[in-house]
Parts: sequence; C-alpha cells; structure tokens
Amino acid sequence: MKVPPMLLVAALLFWGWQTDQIIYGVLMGALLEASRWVKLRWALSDKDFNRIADFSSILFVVIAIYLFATQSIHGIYTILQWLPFIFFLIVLAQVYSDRGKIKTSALFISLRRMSSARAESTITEFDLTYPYFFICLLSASLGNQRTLWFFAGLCVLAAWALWPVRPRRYGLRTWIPMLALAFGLAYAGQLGMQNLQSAFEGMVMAWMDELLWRNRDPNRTSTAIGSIGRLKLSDRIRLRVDTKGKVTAPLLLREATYNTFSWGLWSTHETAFTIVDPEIGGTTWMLNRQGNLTEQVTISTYLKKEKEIVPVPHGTHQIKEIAAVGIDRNPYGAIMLDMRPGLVRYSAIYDPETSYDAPPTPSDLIVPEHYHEAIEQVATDLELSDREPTDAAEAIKRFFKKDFRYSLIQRGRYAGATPLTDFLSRIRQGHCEYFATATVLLLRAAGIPARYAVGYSIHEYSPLERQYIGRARHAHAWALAHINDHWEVIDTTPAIWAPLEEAAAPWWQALFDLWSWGTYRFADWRYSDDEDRDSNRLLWLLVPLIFLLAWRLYRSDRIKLNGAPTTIQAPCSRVGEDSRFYLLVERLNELGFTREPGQTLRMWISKIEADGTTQPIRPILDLHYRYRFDPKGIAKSQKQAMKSMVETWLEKC
Amino acid sequence: MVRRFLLRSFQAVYRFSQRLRRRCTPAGLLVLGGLVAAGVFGIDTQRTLAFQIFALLLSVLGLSIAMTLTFRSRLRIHRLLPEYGTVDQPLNYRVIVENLGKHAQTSLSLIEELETRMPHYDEFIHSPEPSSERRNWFDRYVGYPRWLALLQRNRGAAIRPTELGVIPPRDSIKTQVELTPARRGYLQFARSIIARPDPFGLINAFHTTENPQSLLVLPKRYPTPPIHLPGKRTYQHGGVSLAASVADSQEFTSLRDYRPGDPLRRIHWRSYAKQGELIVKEYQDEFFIRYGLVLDTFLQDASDEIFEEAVSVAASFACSSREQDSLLDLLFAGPDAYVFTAGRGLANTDNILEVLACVEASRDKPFSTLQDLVFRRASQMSAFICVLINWDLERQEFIRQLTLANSPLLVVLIVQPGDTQALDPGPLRSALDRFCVLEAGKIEQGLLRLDTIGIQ
Repeated sequence: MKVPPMLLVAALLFWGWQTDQIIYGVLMGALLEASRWVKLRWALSDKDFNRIADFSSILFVVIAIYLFATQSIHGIYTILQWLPFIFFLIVLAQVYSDRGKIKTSALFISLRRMSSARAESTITEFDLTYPYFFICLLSASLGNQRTLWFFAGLCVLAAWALWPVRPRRYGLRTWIPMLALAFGLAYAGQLGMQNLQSAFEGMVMAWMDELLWRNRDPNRTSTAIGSIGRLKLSDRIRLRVDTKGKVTAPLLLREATYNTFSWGLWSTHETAFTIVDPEIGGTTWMLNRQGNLTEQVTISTYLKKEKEIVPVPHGTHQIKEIAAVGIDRNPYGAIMLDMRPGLVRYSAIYDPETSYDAPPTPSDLIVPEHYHEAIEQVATDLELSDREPTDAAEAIKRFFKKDFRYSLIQRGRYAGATPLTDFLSRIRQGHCEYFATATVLLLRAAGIPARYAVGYSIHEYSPLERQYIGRARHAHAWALAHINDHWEVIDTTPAIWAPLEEAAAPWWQALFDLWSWGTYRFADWRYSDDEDRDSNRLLWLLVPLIFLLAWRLYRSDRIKLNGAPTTIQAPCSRVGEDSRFYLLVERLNELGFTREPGQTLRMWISKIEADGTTQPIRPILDLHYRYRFDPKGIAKSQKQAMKSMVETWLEKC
Repeated sequence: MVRRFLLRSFQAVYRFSQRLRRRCTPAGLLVLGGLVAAGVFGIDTQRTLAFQIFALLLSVLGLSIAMTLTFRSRLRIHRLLPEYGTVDQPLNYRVIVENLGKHAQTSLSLIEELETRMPHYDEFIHSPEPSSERRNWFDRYVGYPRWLALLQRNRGAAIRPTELGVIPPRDSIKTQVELTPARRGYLQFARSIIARPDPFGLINAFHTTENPQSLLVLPKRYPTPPIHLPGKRTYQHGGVSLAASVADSQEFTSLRDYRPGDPLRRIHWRSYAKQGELIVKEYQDEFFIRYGLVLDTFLQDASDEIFEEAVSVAASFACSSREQDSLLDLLFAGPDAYVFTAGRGLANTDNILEVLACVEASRDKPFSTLQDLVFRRASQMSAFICVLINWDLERQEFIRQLTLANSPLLVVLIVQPGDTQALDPGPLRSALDRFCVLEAGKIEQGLLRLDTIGIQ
C-alpha cells in the first residue's frame, strides 16, 4: 500500500502551515517526494535500519527530556508537534532504500532478538509512509489553529489518502456522496464533541463544587491569577436573596475582606472573631447599634459545617430572624454563623452608605515589592499622587473601563513578569480577581488605604422563585477604599462580565434550576418550625404516593380497565333443567311461598303441604327428583305423567 | 488463579484481534489505529484539534460499518483438497466460487478459516516455547507469545486471504489457495468466507459458508541413506500369509499324517478318501527380513520440538528404500501400545506415514510400556531402529537388553541443539557406529552423516 504521489508533500506542508514550520515542511516534503524521480537507492541492511530506528528513538528521548525540563508537562504537546522531525530519518531511509519497506523488528528491540531464531520469511515488513502521513496530520492538529481551514485541509488530505484504496466495485457515483456524507457527519460530530466537553466539564465542575465546596477562609484566599486556560465556574445556585423589590445595581454580598497580597494569595493578619450577643428572643443580633434601618434583604444559603462564614451586604449592622446558636464577627466585616448544617435563612439590615469595618492600618497601604515597579508606572501615568482620593478612585475606574476587557480565558505565559504586571501592562484582560487586586494596589499607590473583598454579586432574578439567586459563578471580588473616613466599594470589573457568563450557560440550566428549586423547597419545609404549615405540606407527599400505589396496583393486575366480570360458562347443561316442576315452583313463588336459603325442595314442599292450602305436590316432586337425579332417568311415560300432573296442579291452583 | 485469568484474557484478546483483522482491511486497521491515537490526543478539545481527526475517522469508519450490512449475494463455494500435505511444504488447493446471482461480483476476497482449538490450562503451563530464552522477562512471565505459539500449532496453518477476480453472473471461477502446514495431523477446515470491502475499502462484509473438511498433514521427512542393517532373516509365524493375505501360506511342500491340533482346513480330503486316514498338507515356513522401527513417545522432560523431530526421523526411515521383500514394523506407545506393519503387500509406506501423522506424545505412561512391546516382538525382528528422545538410565537399560538379545541395532537419539557433547553411549560404547546423535534443527545434516560412519 504505497501513498499516492505528492500526498506526503501535502501532509508535510499542512503540518508546517499549522505549526508555523512551513520551511521545514517544504524541505522534508521535497526530499521524500524526490525519491520518485531519483533512481539512486541505498542497499540498506536490517542492521542499518535498526541503527536508524535506534537513532530516532534516542533523538525522541533526548527531545522529550529537554522539553519536559523546560516546559514541564506542557512539553508533551511540543513533542507531538515535532513527531514528523523525529520519524523523518527512518521514512527517508525507507523511501531511498532498495527494499522500499522496513521490518517490524527495526522498531521493536524484542522482535530483533527473536528474529535471529525465526525464518526470514516470518518477520513481517511494512510501509511506513501511510503511518507517517497520519503522524503529520496528528502533529498538525497540535498547532491548534482554530479555523475552518484545518478541517477543510483534513478533508482534502483524507479524500486523497482514501482514493487509492477504494475498491473498483464502486463507481464515483457511490464514492463521492459517501465521502461527502462522511465529511458532513464529521463536521457535525466535531462541533458536538466540543459542546460535549464543555457540558461535561461544567457538570464535573458542578459535582466538584458540591463535593469540595470549601468554606470561605477569613484568613486567606487564593486567586486564579496566573492560571492558564479557561476559568470554569459552576452554575449551581448557592444563594437566594429576597430584596422586597427590584435592585437597580448588582447587590454585593461580602463574605470576607483581606489586606495583604503576595503571589496570588490574599490574607489578613487580624482575624480574631468576637462573639455577638443576641437580643432578647434569640433571633436578632445587633452588629452595630448606631446603624440606621435603611435596607433589608433576606438571604437563604446552605451551611456545610456548624460554623461558617455567610455573605452579608456591605454595611450590615443587624442580623435577624434566625435561630442561630451564635454569631461571631471579625474586624474586617466577616460574619460567622454557628448553626446546624443545612438550609439557613436570615435577614440582614444594612446601610449601604456606611461601613463598620475596622479603620485603616499601615497594612492597607502596602504595595508588595515585586509589583511595585509596575504599579508605580501606572500610578505615574494616571498621575494618582497629585489627585484627591475621590478623584484618584475615579481615575482608576476610568482607567480600567477604558483600556481593559473582561475575560475568563488566559492564554498567555508570563515569561519574566508576574501575571498581575502582565495584566496591567500587556494583556489587559482578565477576570474580577485581576481587576480587584490591581485596583487595591493602585489605590494604595495613590495613598488611599484599600482592601480586597470577596463575596457574591447578586443580579440574576428568578421568575420561578420570585427572588434573586446567586450562583457559584457569581462569586466576585472588588476593592474597598477608605475615602472620606469610611470604606467605599470600588468595583472596577467591567459590567459586561455577568452577561458574558450568562451567555455561556448551557441550555439545560433551566432543568437544573428547577431541580435546585425543588430541593430548596423541600429543605425549606424540612427546616421550617411552623408545624401547621408542615402538616398541610405533608399532605402533598401523599400525591406521589397515591400515584405510586395506583401504578403498582395497575401493574399487578389487581385493577382491570375493562371491569366487567367475565363468567365462565359450564361446558354442558345440567340434567333435568327442563323439568316441568319448575313451573310449579314459579307459581308457588307467585302465591307467596318463598323458599328460604338452604331449604331443600322437599322440606319446602312439606311445609307448604302442611298448610293445606294447595293441592298435593309430593308425587310430582318424587317424579322430579327421579328425573333430576336418577342416573337412569325416567321413562317417557313417566315424564308425560309428570307433565300432566303439573298442568292439572296449575289449573287447580 | 492469575494464570487462569491470563489464559482467559489471552483467549478474549485473540478472538477480538482475529475478528478485527478479518473485518478490517490493512487500510481499515490503519484508520482504526489513527482513530485511537486521535481519540487519546484529542481528549481535550481546547488544547488540540485532534478531535477533528477523530470525528472524521469515526464518521468514515461508521459509514464503512453501515455499508457492511448490505452485502447480500448468492455465492456457492466448493473446496477441492489434496489427499495429503506435508509439514513445512507449501501446498496448493483449488476453490471453486460460483456466482448464482444476476450481477457480476468484483473486488472480493476469499478467507479460509481453520478450526482453532484454544490451548487448555495444562498445555499452557507445561509447554515451553522454543527460543523462550530470547524473550524478555515480561513475555516469559506472562506467557502470551508462548500461548500464541501453542495456538498457532493447534491451528496448524495460516492461510492468507486470496483475492478473487471478477465472477460473471451465473458463472464460476477457480482460484488457488496456498497454505503451509505448520504441524502434522489433521487440519480441520471450518468455513469459507467471501469478504467484500465497503466503498472506502476499510471494512469487510462477510458471506460465510460452513464448509467443514479435513486434510491430513504428514510429518516432515529428511533424506536418509538406505537401511542395510546386518540382521538375518527370521522365521515368521504365519508365513507369507502375513505378507500376502490373511490366509495361510500358499507355498505347499508335502503331505503328512494328521497330528492332533492340526487345523481341519489343512486336511487333504482326497488323500483321506483314498487312504481312509487323515492326511494333512504341509506348507513351507517363511523366513524374511523384518525391521522394527521403535519410536520413543515418552516426552517427560523433552520439548515438543524434540518429539516432532523424532517423529520426522521415524517417518524418514519409514520412507527410506529397503530390501524389496522386507517388512517394517512401527512400534510406539500412545494411549496404548501400537504396532503397524508395512511391506510385502500389507500396509504401504503411506499408511505408516498416516499413523505417524497422528502419533501423540505420551505423558502419563511409563517407558516400560514400549519396552514390553518391543521384547515381545524381538524374536521376529531382524534388526531394530530406535528413535529416542532421551538418554536416561531406563533407555540405556532397554538398549542394553536389546543388544544382549543379539538384535542388530541402530539408536538415533534426538537432542536439543548443542547437547551433543559429553553424551555417554552407555551399552553402545563398543559399537559407536550404531549410536547416532542428531541435533534438533540439524537433523538433515546428521542423517546424511550416517553414510560416512558406516552403519551399512
């Protein structure tokens, strides 16, 4: 099975084009294709082939070690891109050898040992050109140039390769439509595979998210700053927020605040939690008694542990309507709930214009040394040091709004720079953690104490639940700046981030939401203290039970759709059914003599005769009994006699 | 436990690979390999575009498989086998393929399938693979190459698919199929399969015809010098009848008086009528040369390879030219002790070869079984040729007793390659020209040397 002319050249050009090594592709292709015109052939022995194969293997190992040392695990993709280089020598040897094929023993050392013990003819030979063609395609795919041209080129090369092996029994009228159908299916299939992977990753993320949902650590939080690839966040609903009305801007629910940044990690030094005493009744907790009753939200979330940080709005001074064991707080506004795990619902009273966080400390002005130069550069460009704090904050907001884009995908590598400085100076796109961290550091560079806050941005309203919901992917980070003696929220992440993420939501999210709502309602009933409501809702449980019972009855044949009872007819009529005596019985019934259940005919007749109101019946009865039960039956004359006796009796009565 | 599991796994893997190899053309196998590779490297659709190659190959293969469901043709296959084949000798046979349909059939190929008995557990455990020392430790431990070698031996031959030409409608073609038997015994042909490739030439659709037949494969034979052992002619009880027919000898010599015990059929009734006394006919006693070819089938520590060589050597002696009126008795032990006699109008050489084609190694009987058989016949034999596969004390004692019985003797011992050194001839120390050691794999050269060591 020889490759058709120019196919290897085309494959190598395709590989060179896709992996930016077109020069090598041209050279290698020309060398291989020239073998068709050059008559020169080497008389290579098995040992020569073995040596060339060994050399290729050693080359492969050396390149692999080098690439793993320099690029770590990512080196595997580079190795795969270079496969045409690695196998080129042995393919070249094959096409220029007088044999034109190589033995399998050249590629497998174990076969070489056995080959000396076997007859020459038992060692199989094969042509490396078609496998090499496939290697070129595979390596080309590693170029990952995500345009339609790759698929188009693939189709052309596949058709070219399949052409020589098509059986002559089929004409072009069959072959071409079949090939077109295969390409069409392949195109649809590759789109489906991409969607499938996306969906699968989403599901896995959701499961992992559920399994490994870590509590918010008030001491530190790691960011995804510096991660390569697409940032995956789950669509699972974590929070439900009842705001008693529509919100005009995203509602930020804060979980924790940090003030020290280093190498992608935010932390705090002052983390001591203090106990908050409950009010009388035990369901209200005053965090700050100076707070004004301005806004209220009711938040429902799930606790995995007994003590967990819960999100509350900025400026919360009172938590109520919750039967918690205790509530702790730290100076940075984190609220820790001590309660049984499961669904919890609480109301937070807050004043968005006020903050009760601890006043600034020197830590809130530190810019880490390794970011200092890049931050100072931007601060100088924006002339932050010359501005009033309010102006400086506005300048920073404008800076991010003007020149930066929101993105969950990071492709770049950070050779010689930290991810954050790369974000500020070169890439200028990232997710909320980049924006919040850069904002905090720029504010500090401007002399404004600033902190890093994490929590949720609530903006999605669920018509089904008639309240706002917070998904895992709504997790958000922002900056807090101490301006005019209070902590102010500075959120520089472009507002487009929420619609962008929603657009990427899968089509089946509605189903998951429905399920989530069902489980929420169940948990709500389960953890509710209202007993009357319980008993009413408990009745709803009967509905599926009734359906289940009906189904089981139906399946077990206890209920028939066509309910008319079926009676089985006796195969033969009873002897003596036509006895005339029954006419007599009917007349007696008409006369008011009714036969009691269990009463024999003889007993009944004896009783009637004893009254003396009727003619004697007993002789007729004797004949009837004989007609009815005597195996020999009665003679025809006797039957006639019974008939006349009955008629006489009927006439007389 | 592990071995049994391995054995089952080998069987499953073999069945799967056989099915795959039959169903897929070489191009199909390449596409399938490519599909797997593209699947592995394309698992992350974000990192590479190999998933597009995967999708393309999958759709091409899927359509190919779908097209195999539509093969409906009316074909009749008739196989014409020769009477015998010989181990390692290519043989050709003809197959007639008849197209009963209205359309010509092209691009078809014929696959002949042999019945393959899977090696059972004991066979797998106790059968060493030739050249196993060349294998790496993993192959030796797991034993897949050994299992495969056993399976190939059980199958007996490998038959390559044969391309068929154009078969016109309502016509037939004859095609030649070549096979090289790898072992002696019966090759069981199971079925004939006509394979039709799909439009891409990747997957075959099958038209299967159950076509059971068997072919006897004779042992391999080597050229041997003529046998002229210095034995004398011996009296043969039963006379020429043994050689010519099942009746008594026809060589009439005289009449004599009846002695009690004479068979009634020998009474000469005419003389009885004349004399009034019982007179019987007397026939001449028969003396002729009769060789005993003793084959050692008691495998014990010896390998299958040695045993096969021993059978081949015995077959070579059976086929070698000998005196025209001599008899040859083949003596060996299988499930029982057997003697087959050939020559002088009894069975011919072909019959001996047929017997040797089916000789099996005896693993559970003692060597004395053969010993008893030989000694019972020793008085009738002019000379013995003993083909042995071991040279232990028991066999040496056997040979010593044969020499004591003054039976001319040639001992041929088959050994592993390189084991010829330091072998003590034992009872044949004084007659080294009667003791011939042949190395497995170099039998032919060894047998040709017999001329030069002067056994004639």
